Amino acid sequence: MFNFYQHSYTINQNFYHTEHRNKKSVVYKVLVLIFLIPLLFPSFVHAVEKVVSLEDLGHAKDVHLSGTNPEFSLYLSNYRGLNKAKAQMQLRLSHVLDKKSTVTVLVNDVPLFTKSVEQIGHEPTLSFGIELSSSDYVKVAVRGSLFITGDICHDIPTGNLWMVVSNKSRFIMNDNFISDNISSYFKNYDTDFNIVFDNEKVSLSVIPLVYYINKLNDWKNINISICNTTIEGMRNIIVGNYDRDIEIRDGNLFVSGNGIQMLKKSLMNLYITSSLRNSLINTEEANRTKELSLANAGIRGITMTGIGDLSFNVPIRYSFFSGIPRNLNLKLMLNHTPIPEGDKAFLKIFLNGVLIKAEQLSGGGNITSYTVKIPEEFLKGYNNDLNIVVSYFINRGDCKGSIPSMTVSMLDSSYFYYDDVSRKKINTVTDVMGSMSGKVLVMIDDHNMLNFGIYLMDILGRFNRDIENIDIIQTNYKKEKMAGYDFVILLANPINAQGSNMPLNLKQGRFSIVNPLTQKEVFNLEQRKNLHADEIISSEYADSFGILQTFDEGDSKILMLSYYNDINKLSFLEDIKKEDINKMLGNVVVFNRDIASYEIGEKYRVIYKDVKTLGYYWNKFKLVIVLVIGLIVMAFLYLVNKKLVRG
Amino acid sequence: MSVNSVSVSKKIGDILLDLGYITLPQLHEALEYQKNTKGRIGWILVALGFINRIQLYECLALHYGLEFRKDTGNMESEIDKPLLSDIKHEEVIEYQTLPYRKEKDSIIVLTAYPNNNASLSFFKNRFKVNEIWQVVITDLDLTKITEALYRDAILDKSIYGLFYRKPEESAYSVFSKKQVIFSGVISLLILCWLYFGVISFLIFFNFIVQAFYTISVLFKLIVSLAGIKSEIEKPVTDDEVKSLKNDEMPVYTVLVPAYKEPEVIGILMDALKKMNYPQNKLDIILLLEEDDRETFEAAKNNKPPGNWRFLIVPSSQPKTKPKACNYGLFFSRGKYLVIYDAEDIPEPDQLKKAVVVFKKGGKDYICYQGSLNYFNKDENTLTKLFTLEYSYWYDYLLHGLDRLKLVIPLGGTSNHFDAEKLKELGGWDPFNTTEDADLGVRAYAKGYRIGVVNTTTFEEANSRLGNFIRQRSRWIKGYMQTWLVYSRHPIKLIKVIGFKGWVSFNLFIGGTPFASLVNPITWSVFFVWLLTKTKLVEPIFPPEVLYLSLFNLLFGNFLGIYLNMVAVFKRKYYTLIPFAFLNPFYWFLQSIASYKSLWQLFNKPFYWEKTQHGITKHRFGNA
Repeated sequence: MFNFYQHSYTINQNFYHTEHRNKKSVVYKVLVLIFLIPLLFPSFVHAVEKVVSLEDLGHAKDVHLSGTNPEFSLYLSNYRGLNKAKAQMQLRLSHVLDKKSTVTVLVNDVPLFTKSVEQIGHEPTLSFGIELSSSDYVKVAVRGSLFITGDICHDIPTGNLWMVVSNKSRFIMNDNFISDNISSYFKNYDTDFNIVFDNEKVSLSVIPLVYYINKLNDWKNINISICNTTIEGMRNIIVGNYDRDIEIRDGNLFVSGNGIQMLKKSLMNLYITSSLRNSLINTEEANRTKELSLANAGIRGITMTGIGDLSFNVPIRYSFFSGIPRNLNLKLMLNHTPIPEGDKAFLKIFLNGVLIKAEQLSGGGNITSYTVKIPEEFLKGYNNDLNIVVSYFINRGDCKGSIPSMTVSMLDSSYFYYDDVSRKKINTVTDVMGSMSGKVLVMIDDHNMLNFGIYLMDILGRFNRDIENIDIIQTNYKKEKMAGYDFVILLANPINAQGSNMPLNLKQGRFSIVNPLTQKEVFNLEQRKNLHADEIISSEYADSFGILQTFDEGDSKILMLSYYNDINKLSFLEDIKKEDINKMLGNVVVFNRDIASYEIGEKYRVIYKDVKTLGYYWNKFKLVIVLVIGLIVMAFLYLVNKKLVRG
Repeated sequence: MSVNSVSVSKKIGDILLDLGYITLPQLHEALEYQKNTKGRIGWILVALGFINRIQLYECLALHYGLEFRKDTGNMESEIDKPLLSDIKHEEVIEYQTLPYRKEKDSIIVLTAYPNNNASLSFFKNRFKVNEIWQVVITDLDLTKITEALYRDAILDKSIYGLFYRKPEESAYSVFSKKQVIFSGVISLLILCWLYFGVISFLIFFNFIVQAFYTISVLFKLIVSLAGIKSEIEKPVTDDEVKSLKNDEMPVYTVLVPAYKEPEVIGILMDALKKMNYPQNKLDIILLLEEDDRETFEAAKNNKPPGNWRFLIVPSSQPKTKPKACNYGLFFSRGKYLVIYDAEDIPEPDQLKKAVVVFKKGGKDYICYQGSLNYFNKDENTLTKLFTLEYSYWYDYLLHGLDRLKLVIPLGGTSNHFDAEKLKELGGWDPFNTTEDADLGVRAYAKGYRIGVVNTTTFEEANSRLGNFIRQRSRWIKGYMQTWLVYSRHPIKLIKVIGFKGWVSFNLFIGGTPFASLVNPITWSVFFVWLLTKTKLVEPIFPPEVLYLSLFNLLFGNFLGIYLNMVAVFKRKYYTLIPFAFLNPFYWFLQSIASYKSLWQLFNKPFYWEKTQHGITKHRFGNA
């Protein structure tokens, strides 16, 4: 089964001479596989125009492409309600391009139009309607044919063959809002969801709901709010204790505790009915093996044609493996066209920018496997970039006229294999949130933490959509309950926090964080003004704040959410954005109106001000101690003088 | 001059033939032997076992026409005691003559060295007489009577001789008054520092400890490298030993102090009988304690040759080996002197090598230390670790110290002395439980040098834990005593032995017990930190100290293990190499012993922890 959330990048770079800095020609694809569900009983239909930008689709930045034939493509989900769509692609083209350079727009691989730079200028906005088909998706591509002199051997090394697709480019959808069954409730272009709690004492099982909603909308960013009432124009999900597990009623989705469990699996497992009662869903975890194919990791096989560097990006996320794999290898399955005599081709593999394997390619025409050892020392954080580059070089005499090219395919049957998995080295909150997968438990000891747990799950859902199953229990900190879980999210009242490995023990009361090498305080609740400017993250800390921290308990990695003094300070979680998670580069994160991360243990130490340490007793009794020792020493020396000194 | 010496009649050999004590072939054999050794025929016959002492002295008496007596008891009681006040026991021993009776212008003496001009002249002058009448007695009888008559004086000098002469060099006073005052002042300062800044004091103390370790490690490295360099140089070659002429060999005294060692005394006696040295030039003295009949009997049963002597050391405190050695030193006759323990097995040519090295070394050398090693190294893990330690100590460390001209702490046995210089130094300190190390430092402080000679004595390694701890605690206590003795006047000491010598003295003599005492603390801190990840010790490990301690932990321990490996590799004890990794456990045992030593230093400073020998089932030759 494919994971729906996987994005795979296709980078088609047509270079003659290889220079890494020039090879960022990217074609983007978002693939969402959706089953078209027959519309049996259309009960609510609204025609609504919805705008989705590339930014909404996850492009935080503009897409920069380079080479002679750069191409950007993406797949738009063709939901059942979509009856009309158009696109506005904002481009920027290199100003030194020959005016005869062209840009071609293709829809479902069929050219829609081709325009020269002379016609559209260097910063055009291309507007075009999109012809819808019966397929599950629509492929939209923008392809450049760029040159400066016509001699690619001259043009490519200049680095001036480039094209930028703005992330403000957008698609305007005319969507018939159809909400006649559970599945279609999530399969649309809406981005705003509202969760309503129907009664005060809501079941704990709602905690992962926001995570599942994020996961179900894996191809786009969504906004989830929690309100007391339904909001018109938003997708309202009303949670309560209902007879039916899950039901579409009055255009809203009503979900009971058991119904939330059904959302654990993808929409493929959801039903075309509008209502379910006493349903069962298999949430058994798939058997873990020590192999993971790219297909199972949600990475599609890719075929590219061109010269210069043809590159594929394969993300390696710890969440693929539920931790850091030991002795990780990739069995890479490649096929390429035969290399003509006189030409040369190389396979180069980079991990986070570091070349880890290179070899000359020969032969071709058959699928060949290459074993790539992934060095553990070059893995960083939860998300790593494995860049597979096939470089094809032609003879100088082929620069003009008919240019030979290479076609290369990376098969999704390529697979990772490894010995075992460790989570001990995953320490920062960012890495733990990014790596979270496998068996996850939410442990909550205080019902007041419920809302904040939901916020946390929303943040997690926006950041990492690899978790398949989340269990929930309400209990105080109990090691034995954590056994067997890869990750545990602990929503803890500080009074109950008691993990022996906790970097910051909130039960100990007042504390400061110090740098042991300089003995300077980098976090102090009371004397903030005395801190060195570059050692504090914010001066906004009040005496209350929220805390996220990570630590180990047995084989489980714990992510604990708690607070200091006032629980309401946790409401800042609501304002935390997806990007903010990347700031949580410590095993302790303190937040109030800002976020500060600390590496406790490795870099910093915590000093508890109210704990009576050895120092406390020393300071209290040092005079007595010194006097007693002094007397003993003097008596001893007297005896020595009397007995052991002669002459 | 008038003496009762009459004209010399027949030759000694003829008299003995006439008396029927020897046969003609025996006489010829002895004469042949004499040609090579140039010794006195009488003593050669004794050394060859053809006659006994009484027969020799009886014959001497006849030869000189003098009276011979062997009734020791009567003679002792008949001696005119007031005469003894005019002569010291050292003089009696030197001239082998005792005053017996004095009349107006003549004196009767008992002598084991009749007709010796120096002796006769001395007695005439000392007792202001014109006539000397000699009565011949055996040397053993003379020793016995002298022991009986001068018992208290000899004993007193054996025990307190050094203290009387140089009280500041004796461990009889464990501490000096100044040391106590100094300790008091330092303690006061430390307490003040603790009060005002406990952390800074602990950092300072930690730094001192770590700096000490670092300096020790570097010192050890330098000395070992010097030792490795000298590995290729042999102080004495086999050719040099072969070129020695027997007639040029000096008399060599071998002191064998033994106490309650009936099981092993035979081992050394057998080895000494096999020594490649003219037997008639061996002055072997077995030093036995008054209350140790069993060792005496065991030694007698081993049938020692006639030229060996038994000296019974009177019972008194402290009952220590150095006291016995001092006692024996009074009666020694050799130009050179060596000490062996009862269980020692010296290599047969050891004495000859010592003679060669003394000739080569020059006048500055007072002593040459032979290597020690163990014949029962494979008995158990403890003996293996002991062998690792000794191999490094004697094969590299001492050679390195010798090469760098630094203080050499002598080993307990196989140290070959120039007897004259040893007597000048005042012998051993009987209150010091490592009298050998103390003597090494004292000699160095007097400007003498100590060298090493390439010969080995095999001993029995301690194979039992309790025995090991006892022995090691005695050694470490002795090191503490020695350090305390020579730290009484540190400035003076630096002036005498130089700064380099002073540093090496502190690192070796003071550093050994200090390291053993501190080791468990530093290891404990390390393990507690490792197991609990406690932050408690972090304040006393600022970066500078932390890096220093890391260096010590990694490089120091590596060096300790590696050097031991190299040493056993040199001796081709390849099976012992892996055991070098157990060194930290061995150091831990030393630490236990060091704490015992510290306790005893204050409680029983002169108590001699006896090492039980003869417990091994291994025999030399199986090694």
